Amino acid sequence: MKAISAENLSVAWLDAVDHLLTTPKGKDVNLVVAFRGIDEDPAIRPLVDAFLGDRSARRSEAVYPIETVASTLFPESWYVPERAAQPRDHLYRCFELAQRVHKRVSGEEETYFGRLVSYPGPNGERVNQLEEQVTRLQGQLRTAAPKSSAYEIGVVEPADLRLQVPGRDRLYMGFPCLSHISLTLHGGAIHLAALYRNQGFLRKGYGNYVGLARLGRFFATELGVAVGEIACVASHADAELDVGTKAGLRQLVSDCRDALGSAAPACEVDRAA
Amino acid sequence: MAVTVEQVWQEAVRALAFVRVLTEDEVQADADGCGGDLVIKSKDAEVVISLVEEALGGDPLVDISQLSRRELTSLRTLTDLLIRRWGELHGAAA
Repeated sequence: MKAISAENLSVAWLDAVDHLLTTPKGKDVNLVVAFRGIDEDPAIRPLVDAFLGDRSARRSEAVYPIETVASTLFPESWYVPERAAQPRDHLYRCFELAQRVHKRVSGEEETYFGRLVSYPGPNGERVNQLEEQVTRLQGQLRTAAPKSSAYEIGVVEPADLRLQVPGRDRLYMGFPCLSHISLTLHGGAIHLAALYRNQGFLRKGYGNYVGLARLGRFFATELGVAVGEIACVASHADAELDVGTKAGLRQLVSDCRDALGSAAPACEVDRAA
Repeated sequence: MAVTVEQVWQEAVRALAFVRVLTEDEVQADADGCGGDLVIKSKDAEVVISLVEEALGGDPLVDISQLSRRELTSLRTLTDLLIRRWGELHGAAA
């Protein structure tokens, strides 16, 4: 087990890849990566995306940009709280409309966000976990508010978002790599802990962190609280040397470290507008 | 039923206005400011396709797995593709 804690998601990802580059074949188990809030160093994503684009051009298999990976978990462009009268309803409606078209993609009947808002229940019913958890946590906040006004009493309310469907997800490889997200309301902030049964750090890791940060921002907006800590546990962590090569990844990490802080100070992860 | 490029463009603008929670005029003004086109996200393109297909009678017109990145990120290119497919399906020239 290795635990990494960093001040923002960009540095967390760099530290994780650095660690994996010291392990045999770039792989490890139970890699825990945590970052505070939803800040990102704006210089890093373009470098990682450029590297991914270069690798994509060399492979027959698609290598997706960070934005695409992040949107599979939380398509933030459909969540417009500053303009929509019912922003959550708008988000869910856009998802329904998109699914009509998305289902035509061969082999990709389901998405991570689909599991969040349309999880297959045991009797065939569809469960909107996102809505249930927002409603539940809002209820808890209403109860706790009077107490916290005098003394900052932590309200600990665990909640779960399931992505893996027991008995149905039987693939050794592929969807879903993200099994579970736990939400904890504590100290006036919402904290997320995500469990990946397998996490590819080159092709998915950075996008996973951006997606989780945006999901955290969604809950924070709906609950009127801050985003606390976001932690990811990769039961199996893979630097994906077969895609990036050890030398290539070392150079990427080195370039990114040189660029840290060069564009602007770390700031809140951009909105997918 | 004859469908023109302009009608499909208007449906695409209406769809994008829905996604972005803007007015059609605001979306059209953005497009005008960008030379008559708009860069869109591929996730948004899925919603736009769905709504345009609905407006054109409900027939599935595209398989997004076959679309290029440009077709998924340029509203004008996507519109041109949709009307071309509609024409092929209905044996009518756009």
